Amino acid sequence: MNHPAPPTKLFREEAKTGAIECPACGAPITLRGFGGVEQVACAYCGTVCKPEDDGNLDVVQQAQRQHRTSMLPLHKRGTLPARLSEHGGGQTWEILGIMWREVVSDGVTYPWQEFLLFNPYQGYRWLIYQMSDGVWGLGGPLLGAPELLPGGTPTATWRGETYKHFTTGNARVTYVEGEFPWQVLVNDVAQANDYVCPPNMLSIEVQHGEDGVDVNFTSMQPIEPQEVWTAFGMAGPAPDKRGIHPAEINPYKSKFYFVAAILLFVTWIGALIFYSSARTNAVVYTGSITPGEVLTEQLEIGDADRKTTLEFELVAQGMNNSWAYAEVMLVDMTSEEAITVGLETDAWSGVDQGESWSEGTNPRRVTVGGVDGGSYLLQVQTQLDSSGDPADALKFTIRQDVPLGRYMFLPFFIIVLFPALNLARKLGFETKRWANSDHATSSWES
Amino acid sequence: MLMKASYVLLSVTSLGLLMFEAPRGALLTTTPERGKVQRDTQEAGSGNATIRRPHYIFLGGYHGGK
Repeated sequence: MNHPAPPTKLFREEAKTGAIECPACGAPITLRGFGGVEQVACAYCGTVCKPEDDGNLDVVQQAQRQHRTSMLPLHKRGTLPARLSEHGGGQTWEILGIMWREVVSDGVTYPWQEFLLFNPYQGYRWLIYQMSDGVWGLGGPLLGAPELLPGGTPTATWRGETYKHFTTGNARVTYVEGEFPWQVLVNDVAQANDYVCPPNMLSIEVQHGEDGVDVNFTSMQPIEPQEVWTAFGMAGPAPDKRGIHPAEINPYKSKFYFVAAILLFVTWIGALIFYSSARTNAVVYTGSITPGEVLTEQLEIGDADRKTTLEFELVAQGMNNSWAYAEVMLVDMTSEEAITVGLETDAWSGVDQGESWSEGTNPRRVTVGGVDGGSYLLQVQTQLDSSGDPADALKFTIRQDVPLGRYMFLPFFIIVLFPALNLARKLGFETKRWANSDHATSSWES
Repeated sequence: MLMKASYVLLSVTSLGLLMFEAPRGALLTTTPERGKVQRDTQEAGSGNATIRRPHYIFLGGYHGGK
């Protein structure tokens, strides 16, 4: 009886990454993407090769380009922030390939670097660095296709959310390094269409090839430079972020100010009614003063042990091109202390080059606060300007417990100021966001 | 967060001023000059002014709290 020969090994060989040489420059190439790799671009000379079943590399596009230093090195591994779980956050990824691309719009070149991340259990993700403004984005394949709605501002609908069109441009590949699960060569061009609905962004890339049209849908989210730096253990500070990611959440978009302003406004109206209705605005003294004479009068102001406000008013009658001045003194008879207030009223007029003019302040009002209630002796001394037409008579009035507009409208000013400032900053952020879009002047109102 | 806290704090403070300080009006009004006065003993020599009550001269300033 024949027995089959026992196997020479109980288990297959442990999987190993393959180490081969670039057929163009002889540099070592290590394949890490296993069977999914469609092409590999030599990091040294840029020659693009296709791995064959026999383990060799066939040259697809020979090149002799210089190596470019990307923001992150090839084959670097990192664990992305857990908050980006939708795009592989919390998982460890290796940079399998690096691609530099650019779009030229209105004569301005906008380059970026794309890092193909690979995890054998999770698949592929993209880390994108915008070189013009230093913003980073993390993306992955979209599991489906969004519904596109053309129009003045095209939109895309995905999972119940509406994405606004941001840019459309022809993205050209300028540099390739490492492994890719599809074939990508320098000077390949794809039409890139970006739609945003912060914090998400959809990128739809359309590439025309010999076999037809290749359409790729990618979902992306912004990621902070420091998060990338920390994830990949890069030394030194993260590169500066100089712009706004198209899908960045507007930090000034908040319902807080709207809700708070309404509540505070209603409170202010209530306080205003309460305050105004409680003011007596009572006349303490009113009378005429003969110019040049001294007026004295015994007054009772407010209630004892309570402070109040006083408004002094001086009106000069029959005065032109002249001034009148009154020094008002309220003497507390018990303490022989006094408060003084100066009131100057003036009136000027004339004709200049055929046009008449007039200026001056008549009547003059001065409001003082914090005056203790009690008995006072009012003493008013007046002075008149003898030039021009001096005043025939001076009318002097004191009111107490007057409503003060500065107290009434200060809350309103503050209640409105902060929401207005926040609105300005919110609009400024949107203006900056949309400045790099195809709709720089029309879409920032959201 | 700081802006929001400042907003609430300043708004509530200004409303508090309106409710409780405005009747006194000590903060947001012109501060009158305060000081001691002295009776003017030379009333007769004050020109053609008519004096109906004791005439005081404002000494002004701070006099040691006395």
